[in-house]
Amino acid sequence: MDLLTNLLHGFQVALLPMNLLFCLIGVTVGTVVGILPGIGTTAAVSILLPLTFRMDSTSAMIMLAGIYYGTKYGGSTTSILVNTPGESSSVVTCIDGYQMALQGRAGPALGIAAIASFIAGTLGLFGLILLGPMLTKVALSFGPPEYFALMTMGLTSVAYLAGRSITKALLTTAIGLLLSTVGFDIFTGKLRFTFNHSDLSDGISFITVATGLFAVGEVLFNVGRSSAQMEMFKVSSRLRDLLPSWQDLLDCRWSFVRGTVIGFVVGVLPGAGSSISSFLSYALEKRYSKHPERFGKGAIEGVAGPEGANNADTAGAMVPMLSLGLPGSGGTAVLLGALILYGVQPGPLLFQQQPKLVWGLIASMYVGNVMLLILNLPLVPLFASMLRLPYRFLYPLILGFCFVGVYSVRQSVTDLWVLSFFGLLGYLFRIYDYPSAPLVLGLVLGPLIERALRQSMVLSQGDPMIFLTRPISASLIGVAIILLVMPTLLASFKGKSSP
Amino acid sequence: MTHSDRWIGPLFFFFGIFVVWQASKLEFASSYGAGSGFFPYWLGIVIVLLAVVVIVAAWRNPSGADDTVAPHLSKQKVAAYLALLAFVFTVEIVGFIIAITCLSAFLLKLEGESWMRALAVASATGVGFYLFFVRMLSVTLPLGPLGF
Repeated sequence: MDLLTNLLHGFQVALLPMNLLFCLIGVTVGTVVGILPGIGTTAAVSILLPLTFRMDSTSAMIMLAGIYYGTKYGGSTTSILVNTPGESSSVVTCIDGYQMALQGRAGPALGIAAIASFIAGTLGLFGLILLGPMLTKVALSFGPPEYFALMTMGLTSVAYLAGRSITKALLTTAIGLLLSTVGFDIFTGKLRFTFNHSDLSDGISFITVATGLFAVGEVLFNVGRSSAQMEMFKVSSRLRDLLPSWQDLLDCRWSFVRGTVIGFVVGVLPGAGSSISSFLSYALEKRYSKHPERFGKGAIEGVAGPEGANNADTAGAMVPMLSLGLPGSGGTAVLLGALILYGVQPGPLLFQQQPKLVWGLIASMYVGNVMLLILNLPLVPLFASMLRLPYRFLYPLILGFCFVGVYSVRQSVTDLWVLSFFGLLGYLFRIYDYPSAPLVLGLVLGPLIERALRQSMVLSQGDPMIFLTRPISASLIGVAIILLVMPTLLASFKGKSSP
Repeated sequence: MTHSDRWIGPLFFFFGIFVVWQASKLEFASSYGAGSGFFPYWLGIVIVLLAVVVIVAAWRNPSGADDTVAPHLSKQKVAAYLALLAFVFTVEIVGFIIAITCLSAFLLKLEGESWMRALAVASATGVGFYLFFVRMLSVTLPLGPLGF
């Protein structure tokens, strides 16, 4: 009953005209970002975050979350029309979506992607409503050692799943944690790693780092690669040409459900991300199809399942972020960082202390999904026309937005130098296959982890065994260790099993 | 691991050593328990250990992927990055709007646009930024001698 009351209260917040407007702005920006290659969710949220500082925190979170899940809707458009995914989570949509477009069924492919996104996004929110408060109740019994263990496990899980090499992902995580120590030490008030540079005494902003790594780095990566104009299918402007037939919907009814379940479960796991959920969903659709031979040749289930999965994933990813204060990706890390910047303490008390924000945000995601469905069906031709804009016209704009966003935080040119440095680092990380998302996660979670670690050490009077003598923290540390040794064990197992 | 990790690994290794050295100058333990150097000290050690794993793996089992710098570091990218640095260097002197207009024009020229078209698009970009951020959103940006 409490749940229903809270949700109703959330809808009262989400349906306020101002919040509806910010939700609409968020999902529209999200769709555009999802469509445009070269700018992703994390970059978009980081760039626009400083512009929300003067806003009410609930309205700001509603808008930023709108960008976060809106990108998943937009990502499918480029996959289907130009065989180039706008987002990594839409890579798999290229396989059958583009084939459908080749067969003259671009409209139904776009339509089913929007409908699957809507259904899975909405069903995923039920999961968030049920699981979020449940997890919160468990986490309320956590003390500093359990928090430290939980965040260590979360970061290890991200490193395990984020990149091709767990060692490289752990390295970037450690660098992110280290960057979080720059500036004043919250316990002793002493300065660390500022090298007598007063601009660094407040620390390095995660906005600057995330914008540099994900936006400037991406621009540098694309310089010189953008001269070719994309070949694109024409999209009918008539709504009925975009709607899939009843038979299509019937064929996809279980794909929606499977996509939702896979997307939500994968979303809850820190680090798994929507690329994994969409690939898993595609594999499952092929496995359960009566005609697996159609996959790769324009099977509509191959679009519906993954597109559903990558949307349910966003609701799943909100579960640990809201209930535990544990983000599992670059995007949710920036959202969590935004909460901290608005003066909101993330963690299990969030549901109790900030019901307006949490339930308003959850209800706004329902509203946002409806808006996205309405936006994405009739306005697809308009959004698709943006793809005609060559990327070379776009990236000076992206850079300009990055500079404005970062400069407006503290009016400091030092931050622009830091931005340029992380832009170069983001580009180098990209070409040498070092994942950037764990660095941002480390930077955002660093102060929380360090505080939990040092509070634990105070509790135990300096004895590190405190993490192993308490059952919950010991179990979580155990999971982290298993994740760390898993790649080595799997490799040796493969070595033994192969002749 | 790839061939490039043979030189990237040592970079991380020495970075980790530097972190340990700097962290050891800070207080390791205090009356509050762990001191301000405790966390970064152990992070430095972790970075050193992970760098060793990267180096060993890169020498023992390279994937053979060709990921040398040459194909990635084109003149265009270097020029774009230098332009970006020049923007940061001059933004407080000439003002944000002029700086972003110049940067946009240069980047567009770099991508093969004619000077005429590059300047036209860049000017529109500058005006757009001025109207949207300065006039509409009242964002504080570095001002130039012309007042914008």
